[in-house]
Amino acid sequence: MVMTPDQDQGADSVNAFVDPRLSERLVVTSASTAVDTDQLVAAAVSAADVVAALTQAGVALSSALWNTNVHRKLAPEATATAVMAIQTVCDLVTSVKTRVQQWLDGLSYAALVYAGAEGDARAFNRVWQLTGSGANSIGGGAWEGPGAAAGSWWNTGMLSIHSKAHDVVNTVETLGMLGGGGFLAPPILLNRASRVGSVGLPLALEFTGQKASDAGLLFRAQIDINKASEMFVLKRLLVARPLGIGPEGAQTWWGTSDFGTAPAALEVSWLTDMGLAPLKGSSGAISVVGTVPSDSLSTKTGKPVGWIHTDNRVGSEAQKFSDQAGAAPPRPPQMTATPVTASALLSRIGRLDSTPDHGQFEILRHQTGQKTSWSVVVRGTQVWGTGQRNPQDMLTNIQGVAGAPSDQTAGIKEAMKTVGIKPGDTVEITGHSQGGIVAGQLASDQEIQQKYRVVSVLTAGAPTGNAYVPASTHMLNLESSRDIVPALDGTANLDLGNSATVHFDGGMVKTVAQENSGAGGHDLSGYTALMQWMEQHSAESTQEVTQWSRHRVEQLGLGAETTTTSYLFNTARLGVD
Amino acid sequence: MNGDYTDDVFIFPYDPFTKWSTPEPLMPSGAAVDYAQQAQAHLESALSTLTAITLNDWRGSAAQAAQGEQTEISAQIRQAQASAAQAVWAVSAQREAASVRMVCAAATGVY
Repeated sequence: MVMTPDQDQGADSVNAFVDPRLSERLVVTSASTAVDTDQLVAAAVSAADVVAALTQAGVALSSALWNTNVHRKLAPEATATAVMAIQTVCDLVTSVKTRVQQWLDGLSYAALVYAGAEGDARAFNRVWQLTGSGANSIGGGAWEGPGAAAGSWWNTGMLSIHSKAHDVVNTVETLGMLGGGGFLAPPILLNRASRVGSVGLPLALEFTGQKASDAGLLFRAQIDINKASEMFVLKRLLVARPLGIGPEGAQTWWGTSDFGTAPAALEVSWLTDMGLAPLKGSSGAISVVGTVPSDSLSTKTGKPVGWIHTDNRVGSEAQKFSDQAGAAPPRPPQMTATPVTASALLSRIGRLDSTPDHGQFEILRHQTGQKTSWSVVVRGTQVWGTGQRNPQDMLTNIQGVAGAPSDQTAGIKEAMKTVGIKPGDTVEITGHSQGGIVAGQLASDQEIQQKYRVVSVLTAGAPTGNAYVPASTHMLNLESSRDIVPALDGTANLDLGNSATVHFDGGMVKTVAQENSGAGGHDLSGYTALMQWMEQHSAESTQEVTQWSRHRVEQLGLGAETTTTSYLFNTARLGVD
Repeated sequence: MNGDYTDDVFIFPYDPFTKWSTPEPLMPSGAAVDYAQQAQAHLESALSTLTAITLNDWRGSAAQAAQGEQTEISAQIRQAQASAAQAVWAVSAQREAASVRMVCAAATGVY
């Protein structure tokens, strides 16, 4: 085996500014946290009433002051005394009002994240409306009222998605795909995008085009609004209503992976991306039906999944795949720094390569004395189409959120065997965005559970509400309130015993990478910076995180004496141009 | 009494020489008392609403911190209430003083 030293030592430190108030904007939820969300929402509503009463008191005092001054010449001494007395009250009221507003801000934030964590759309909506956002403000309306900042937490998330949507539309146009190119982008999609301009979301809610028979049917997504989760209904109300689209009724999209003949697949992808179709296999609200091949076959080609490892060490079959795909070798296995901390582990995700030709994930082998353990590191969506060569695409997202196997999960499972993970070996899985969905899927997979000892899962910015991770696996989810992606599952994260979710205000964590990428709250660097911050600021409020970190290090046996080897895998759907 | 008070004729929107015997010139100071009492009532309402808020089940230390803040805010509103009571008293006293001065001025013809 050829070993070369890793050029950079793995444990990147994120260049970030963390607002000291982050500790007030961070809530960890888990089964061990009993929160009466209704009570918290009621408290936030009442706190707003306190602010209103103090505002009225201030107005009355201003009037009293003005009227008292009228007689300043008639009774100067008494007037001076009265003015001073009123001014004293004014100062006190102003001071206490500021304090109550800050208190309300904190209560509102907690109420929002707990309501969001529970998937309680009605409670979420109450606080959301209370904080001055409101349905009409979606996509750029003015934010007013005492809790305007609370509304902007979610508005920011929407806008970051909106920006991403525009990027895709621009890409479609740039590549000449509209009208005369390789595929016909859904005209409705583009029309919506141009019509709503900079204040809305490019939605495509109608499908009037292709029939299922036009191309090989791979899936059909059907949304029954009556069965959808409350969070889904809320999102639909909030997002669709400003565009004049009614919230009622059931809609069906026929999807194929063939861009040339069926834009519906892309439309479903978009809807998923927008949060309008948070596919939820378990709810019955949205079902992916039709011909979904087994996980051993590509959903695109029906052929075996193409996973590629160009290192001869892992077997001739892998090399054969590589030859067929013509992919560039990633690199031979390398010694690398051991990611003892979770932030170091997260930072590895961003360094994975990706092109339209292939995706990539990493498996780390940790050796501590006689103990061997493994980390599986999975990156997020890299291609915004469906069924193309790189499986880190929207098709994998749709399948993942619906709980269906995908080419990506199949490729990773195959690679885990090939790299030499033995039955009973200790494994952790981590991922960002789609990588987090995949991490949750793999940890929920019975074959994986029976074969390996999956001791920990870490996800960042991922909709993992449908992950069914057993108590033997300690799962930690990081979800920024400024990132709408974790909400795309439309449901609360499950906790079967040892799962916790950190909800935090992403606006309190600023990174250079975030600004450069334009991805805002969804950018990996923000999550990595949060993890770093929590590692450095252990507190009672983040005790589950501390416990999770301790469990991870102990179970994987990570320490100063550990040596770590990095194996890169490229993934591609074979036979797809 | 001296001519220092002649400026007041410009404050009232009516002729004080014909209206002086009525309570109308003292309306502003009467309104000031009303407003101060309204402020007192709003503070009472704020305190009552705040006191009714319960945060028992909110997560551990965060709930404790919020409850601590709630207690401190309540104390601050009580302090504002006490000051508001002082203000009501002071505004009432000012109205009374103005009333006396106005009657004197009317009697002497010197404003």
